Parts: sequence; C-alpha cells; structure tokens
Amino acid sequence: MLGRAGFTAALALALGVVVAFLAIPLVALFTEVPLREVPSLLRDPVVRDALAVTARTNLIANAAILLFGTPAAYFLATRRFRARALVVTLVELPLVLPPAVAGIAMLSAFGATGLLGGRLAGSGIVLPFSEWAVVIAVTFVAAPFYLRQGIAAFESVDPSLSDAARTLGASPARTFARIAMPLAASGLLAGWVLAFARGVGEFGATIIFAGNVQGTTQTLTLAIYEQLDNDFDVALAISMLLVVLSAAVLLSYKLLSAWKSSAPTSPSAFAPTR
Amino acid sequence: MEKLSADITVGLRSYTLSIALEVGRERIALVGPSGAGKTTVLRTIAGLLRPDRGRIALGEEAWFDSAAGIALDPDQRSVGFVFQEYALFPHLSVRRNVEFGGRARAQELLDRLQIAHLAEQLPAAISGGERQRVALARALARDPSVLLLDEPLSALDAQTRGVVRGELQDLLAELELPTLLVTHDFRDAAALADRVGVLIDGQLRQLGTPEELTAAPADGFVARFTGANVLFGTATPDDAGGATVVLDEGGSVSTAQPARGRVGLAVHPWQIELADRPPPDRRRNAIRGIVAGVTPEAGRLRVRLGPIDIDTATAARPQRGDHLYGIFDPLSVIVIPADDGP
Repeated sequence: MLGRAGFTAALALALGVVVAFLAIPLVALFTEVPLREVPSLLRDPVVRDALAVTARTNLIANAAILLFGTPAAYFLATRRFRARALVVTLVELPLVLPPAVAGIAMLSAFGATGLLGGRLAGSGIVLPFSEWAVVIAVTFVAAPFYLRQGIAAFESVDPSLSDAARTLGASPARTFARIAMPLAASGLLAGWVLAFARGVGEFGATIIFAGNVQGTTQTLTLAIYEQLDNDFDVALAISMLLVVLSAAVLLSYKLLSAWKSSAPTSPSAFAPTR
Repeated sequence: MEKLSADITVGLRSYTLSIALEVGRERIALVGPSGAGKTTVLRTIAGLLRPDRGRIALGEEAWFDSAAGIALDPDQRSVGFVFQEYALFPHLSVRRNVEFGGRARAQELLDRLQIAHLAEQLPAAISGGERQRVALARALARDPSVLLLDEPLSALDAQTRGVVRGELQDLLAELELPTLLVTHDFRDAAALADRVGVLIDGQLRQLGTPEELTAAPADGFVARFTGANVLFGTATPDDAGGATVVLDEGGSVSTAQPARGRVGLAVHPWQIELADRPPPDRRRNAIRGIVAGVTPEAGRLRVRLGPIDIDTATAARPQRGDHLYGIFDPLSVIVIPADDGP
C-alpha cells in the first residue's frame, strides 16, 4: 500500500504530466516563433487585414450580445413562465453544438436557398460569405457564454432588493437600472469576457458560413489556417498574439471572479469614493 | 389621516389566506407561527403579491379591487415597507439608500434616526440595529401613508433586540401612521402595537389589545401565544357558579368561570406559585408534578413542572426531579373552547 508520502508523490506525478502536456505546445510556440521578426511579421498585410476584420466583426457582435443579451438574461432570471426551461436550454445549445454544425445551420437559414436566404436575397441582402456572415457566426457561438453567466448574475441578486426598490417608488425600469444592473455588473462583465474570448477564437462556423476571404471574412484564426501553407512564421506570429490575448482575457476573468466572490462580504474595499 | 382597509383572499400552497382588517391611526401587529401568512398580508398590501380577490384601499383610494379590476403597482401605493432582513441596497451608502425613497426628507430622517454619522458607510459596515434604523429611514423617506414592517426585530441578536424594541416603540408612537407589523413573538407584538391579531393558517383567530388577548384568549392557540399554559379536561358545574374540571393528564382544577363538558383551561405562568406541599386552603388549585426543567430568566425562574410552566421568584432553586406543587387560584383560570388541536 502507498503511504501518505507515496500517495502525495503519485498525485504530484499526475499533476506533472498534466502540466507538461498542456504547457509544452505553448512553450514550443514561443521557441519556434522568430521573436525578433514578430513586429515585422505582424505588419504583413494579411495580418493587418485579419486584425481589422476581427476587430470590426467582434465589435458589432459584442455590441449586439450586450444590447440584446442583457435584457434577455434579466427576463429569464426574474420571470417564471411555462416554456422557461426550454428557452434556457435553447439559449445554451450553441455551447455544446459543434461549430461546423452551427455554420451549416446558418447556411440553411441565410444561404441562397435557405429558410430566410431567398427572401433576403429578393430584397438585395446576401449574407453568406460577407463580413456580416462573420458577425452572425461570432454572435451565434459567443452569445450563450454571456447569456448563461448573465442569467446567473441576475438570479444572484436578492429579489427582496428589487421588491424594496419597487415599494420605494421605483418603476421596474429604474429598479433594473439602479439595483439589478449594478449588483449583477461584475457577473455580467465576467460573462462578457468569456463571450469575447469565444468570439475572437471563432473558426468553424465562420469558415463554413462566411468563407475565408482576406480583407472581408478572414479573421485572425482563419488567417492562421491559410498561412499554414504560405508563411508558417506569420501563422506563428498571429498565434502568439492570440495566446497573449487569451491569457489577458483569462486573467481578467479570474480577477473579476475574485472581485465578485469578495464583494458581498467586504464591499467596503470597493466603496465608491465620493 | 386615511384609514387602510384590506379584505383579501389569497390561495396559498396548503391553505387559503383570508383576512379583513382596518388600520386607522394605530399600530396593529399580526402574530402567528411562521408560515401562517403574515408576510403574505404585507406583500399583498404593498402590491408585491396579487390576491385572488378582495379589496385594498387607503381611505377612498382603491389600491386593489378585484371586482373593479384595479391593481396598482407597488410604486403607485403610498407604503413604507421595512423588510425582514432590511433589504438595504448593498452597493449604495446609507445616505443613498435613504435618498432612494426620496431626497427631500433624507437629511431630516438621517438626523432623526441618529444615523447621520453613518451616512457615507455601506450597509455591510454597520451593525444590525443601525441597519434597522436605515431601513426605517428609507421607508419613511417616501413619506408614506402606511407603514408595513415585516419581523422588524427578528434579524437582531437578543441583546440588541431589547434596545431596538424600545427605540422602535417610541418612534412608531411618534409617527402616528397606520402601521401594520408582523412578528412571531407575542412580547414584541404587545410592546410595539396597540392591537394584536393572531393569524393561524391564514385565518385571523382574534384581534384585540394585548391585555384582551391575555385576559380572554379566544382559543387554546391564542392562549398559548400569549404565553399561557393550556390544559384540557371535562368540566362539571359546581354549586358556586364555577366548575370542576377533571384534567386529561389526571388531577382536577376548580374554575370560578362556569364551564360544562370538554373545555380548555388557560393559566398564566406568573399566576402559579411553586410549593413543596399542597395548599392548606382547599379551594385553591394544586397540580402535582416533577420538575422537568429550570431556566433562570431576568432574576426570576421559569420552572417546567409536569405539563405546566411556572414563572416564580422563589429563592430556593428547585432541582430537576423534585416532586412539587403548582398552586393557583380558581379566579386565575380562564375557560376556553376545547375544539383546538395541540
């Protein structure tokens, strides 16, 4: 039998394997990339176009997610209705849906012969393989991350606080703005960080629904895919850029979570200094 | 000053809450065990819960009228609601909490409730008693026509509770608003309210002054709520106009009030004396029992003797297991109906 020390050693060994397995590719990325040339590699027109497409599409997608997702999450968190469980499941489905399937689904909806595509084409709107297609794909795969976290954030606001606001003369809209929003803010922000990361990393649904056209639909991840055959160093440089971005996103998520969990017990540390 | 009137029916999970109340310039406390529907009454009056039918009005202004299809939103009703755990907004300072109800009177209320020095603190940084005062100030900042308080003292520890009860008593008396408060503690109710209503399973069993409830409880439940011992037995009228009651637990008790058949008897603990032998005066009642518990309470002793509680100032502290007598006058026995569960 293993003694206490032996058992701890076994656990440590397993951890070592896990860490090595996860870290080696990232370390390799940084050793393989010609660090000195990264600035010039990132000035490559392919990279600049991809950066611009990624920024534009994600900006619009995230704006849409926040604008529609916030009230939708509040609705689902504070109202009970018969089909609620079904709606929540539907909202969460894209989380587990293979992105390629999402891409095919969007082609079926908005493609030339699709459910809505034909009618849209009739009024002069052709979505597939346009920059708008990227926006739609990103929104589709990223929104559930925000919605899920947003529902949880609004649900964690004590309902008696909203009740109190109402008895103090606040309209439902004022109660939402002054009570529910500020109290759910850190949770919403954490959800948005996750959605943002998922959106920037989006690949599968985009390449199927939007294609891979430089300057129009080629995002950073699609550019990596294309540069694999053209210029491996460019692919490495973009990858490094995304690793840094991902690490920053994860770090801010962790900080937000720590803030959230400490907020109810020691909010004075974050008291507004007025 | 307008009167608040409520006559409502609300179907709840295991019973139907049905209550009719009029609150003038007075304080009414609803008491009852948890789950009796007390909070539900407050929530329907505030508009946070819609009754199945009935009418709620302030003077002539209907807030809810199922027949007329009226149901005002909570923000349209002039109520001040103090929630059980106070429901202070954790992200707003004491001042901002109070101002949420209304800016005009905020400073005056901060001063009046002696929380001005806490104005820039967040609720998490102040004590339970202070939170309660903030909750009151916030509710009053709206200049309400009706004040509703849900278990105003239950969130406080025993020590703070006594102090806050006194402060609240003074403040509520000063306000002269129609006030409806809810508590599960008869002593809190008696201290804070002019009239006390006992609510059991959604029904108002009795509404009266604390003295009326203590002197003439409508049934065993009300009697027990006022702190009385309740015994059951079978009564036979005696020739002095009273009755002799053979108790279910054994023994018998004489009453000065007339009684016949199945009855309940209520005797308050402070009207029973503890003795180690039966009384020489044969007209007095004596219940023999074994001491099952002794609890010191504010310089007095609370002694559990067989089926009854005795509140005594006796110097010699009885021991658990002692065989003693609880002695009380027939005049202190209140006859109540027996049709009452445990």
